[in-house]
Amino acid sequence: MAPIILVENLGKSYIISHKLVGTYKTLRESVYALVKGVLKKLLRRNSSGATQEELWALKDINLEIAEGERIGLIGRNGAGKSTLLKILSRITSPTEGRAVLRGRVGSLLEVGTGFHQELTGRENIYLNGAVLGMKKREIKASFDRIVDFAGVEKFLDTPVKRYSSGMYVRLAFAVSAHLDTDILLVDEVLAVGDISFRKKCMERIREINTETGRTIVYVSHDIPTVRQICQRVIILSEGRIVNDGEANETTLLYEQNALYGSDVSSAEVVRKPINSPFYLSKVQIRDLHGNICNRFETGQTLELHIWAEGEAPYENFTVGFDLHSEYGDRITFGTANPINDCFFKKTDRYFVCTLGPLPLTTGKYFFTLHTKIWQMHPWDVWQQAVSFYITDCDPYKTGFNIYASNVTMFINQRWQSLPPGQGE
Amino acid sequence: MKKSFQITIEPERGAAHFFRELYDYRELLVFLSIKDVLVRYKQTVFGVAWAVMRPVLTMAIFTFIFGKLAKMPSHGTPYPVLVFTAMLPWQFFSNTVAESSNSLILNENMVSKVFFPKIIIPTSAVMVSLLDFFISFALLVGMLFYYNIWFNVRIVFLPLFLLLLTMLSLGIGYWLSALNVKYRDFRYVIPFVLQIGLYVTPVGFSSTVVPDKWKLVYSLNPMVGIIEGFRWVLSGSSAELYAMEIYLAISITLLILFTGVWFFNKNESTFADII
Repeated sequence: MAPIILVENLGKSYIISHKLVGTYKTLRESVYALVKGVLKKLLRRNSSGATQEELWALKDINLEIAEGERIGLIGRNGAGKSTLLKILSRITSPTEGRAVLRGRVGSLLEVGTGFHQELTGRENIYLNGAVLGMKKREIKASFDRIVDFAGVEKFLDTPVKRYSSGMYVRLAFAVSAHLDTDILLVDEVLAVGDISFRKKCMERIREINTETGRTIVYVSHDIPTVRQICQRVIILSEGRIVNDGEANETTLLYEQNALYGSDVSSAEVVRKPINSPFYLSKVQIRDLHGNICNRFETGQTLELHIWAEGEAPYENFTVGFDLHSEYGDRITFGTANPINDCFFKKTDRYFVCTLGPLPLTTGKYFFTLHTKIWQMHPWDVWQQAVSFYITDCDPYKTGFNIYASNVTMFINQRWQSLPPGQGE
Repeated sequence: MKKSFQITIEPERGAAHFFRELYDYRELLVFLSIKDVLVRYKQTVFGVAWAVMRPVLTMAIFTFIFGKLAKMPSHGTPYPVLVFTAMLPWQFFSNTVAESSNSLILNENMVSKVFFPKIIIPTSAVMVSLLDFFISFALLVGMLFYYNIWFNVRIVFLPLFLLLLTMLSLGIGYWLSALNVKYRDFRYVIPFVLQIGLYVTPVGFSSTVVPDKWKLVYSLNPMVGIIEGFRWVLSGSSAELYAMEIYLAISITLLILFTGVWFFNKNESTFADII
């Protein structure tokens, strides 16, 4: 059967001019540029003023979506997700290629578009429905369900400016959710309202699909909801499709990539020389076999090798670290003394700390290093000197991974059930 | 599900698309027009009173300045009637142009977040002006009654002149609203130009005061023909219509309207990117 959405070699470029700030111009600027351009042509000079650059927000997009599929579109900011959705919604035109849609399209890029503060709930339902492309009789037919879904029966004839923000958003979503089209394009509008309403929205989205077999294209940053809603996930990066596959598998891959992908930092960092009589100059992270390495699993042990330049001002100093998660929390710290009874001499320049077993969950971590006399102002602080990754937090190999986006610490545990009377 | 339904999205959109989409979304035009009217009369305390006050005050001042001080000719028509019959189309024109030219940037989120033929937005501005027009018209009827002037058979031309006026206002509205998205300084230019227009156009005086040799040039302003047309229809004036004025008004109006639609359609696909 022919796909309901067929995209062929679709691309969209924007001309970005580096000289102008903002996207709209003033007439004066345009007239000035025009005059300048004409003068330049007359004088036959090469233009050297504003540099223009073509930026491809989308490039070579090929896609086939079958009827009834639930597609998730994920990617970083600026990957082109919203642009693709806007082209499919016909809000903006592509620069090249084409897309064929075999069905009516409804897009929810924003809830409550066209809502007016002064109008009543009832008036806004009709207006918003019309803006979204519904016919008057369609709105009438689903009017009661919309009102019921939003739970605003009592306030139907009240101007929406007197609504609480929750009611407002519920009404706005309710209209959109009853859009009766073959293809529904949704852009992260679900991040609205309280938890129970959000749940209701998710259910509604799935219901739309199962009840009527409608095709859904859903754009989001929120991976868990994408997993909940979609069967198939497409990853966009820099305007191109980099992955297209089964939802769980693909999102997991994406999460791994988001964590480890573009910024694979080195396990050895050499610092630019700084003008100071004594400073930390190089750091390495090694595993227990002495290999330079920045990927570990929960429960493994790492070695922190730190080098210094110059001569310390005083005897008996210490070297230490602060451990941060990628979300900025300070998780713990370490110092040669007084935690260990290790006091360094003025001429010491190479320090090693063995650290582990690491009770950390899957994610990225940073070391900030310093050197000082304990409880004195540090001589040198090296912010975020080096980072490492915990690639896997599944100590008991059950296939369940714990992520640092949730919690950063893991405690070894053992669970069992015992006969009820035994413990008393 | 309608199996035959198919949309092809390509870089260029043809005129066929334009008219089909416009037809598909005809109900939205009605809803948006009603919305503008509702909002207008909910927000302003004086609602209707405001629609009456403005033309009446302007009429009083113009009658005083042009009629009493400057003693301009009125060909037997009471001066207030001469002014007020011109105030009707002028108010309509200036309201529509002002509202529609700002409409796209005021409805930014509708332009950038939903698909529909965007030309509906500036078009819907007509409804509010039309309502104001009929309120003022009722006032004019009262005024004519007071001066003991009766409509004659010319009244059949009123819908034609009103249509011409609407077409002209919209044509200019399409041009300006599209330009306004690209060049925001039109927002400041428009009120100024409308202000000047009020004095350049024969609102406070009859165009018969313009010397014959300048008449043709003067009539290049399509509002000249339209306003004189309204006067001719409504005021029972004995002054004959200058045919050239009307022909010019019709052809220039059509030119502005068609190029306005063309320009708007040509630029529509870029609105969402640059607004």
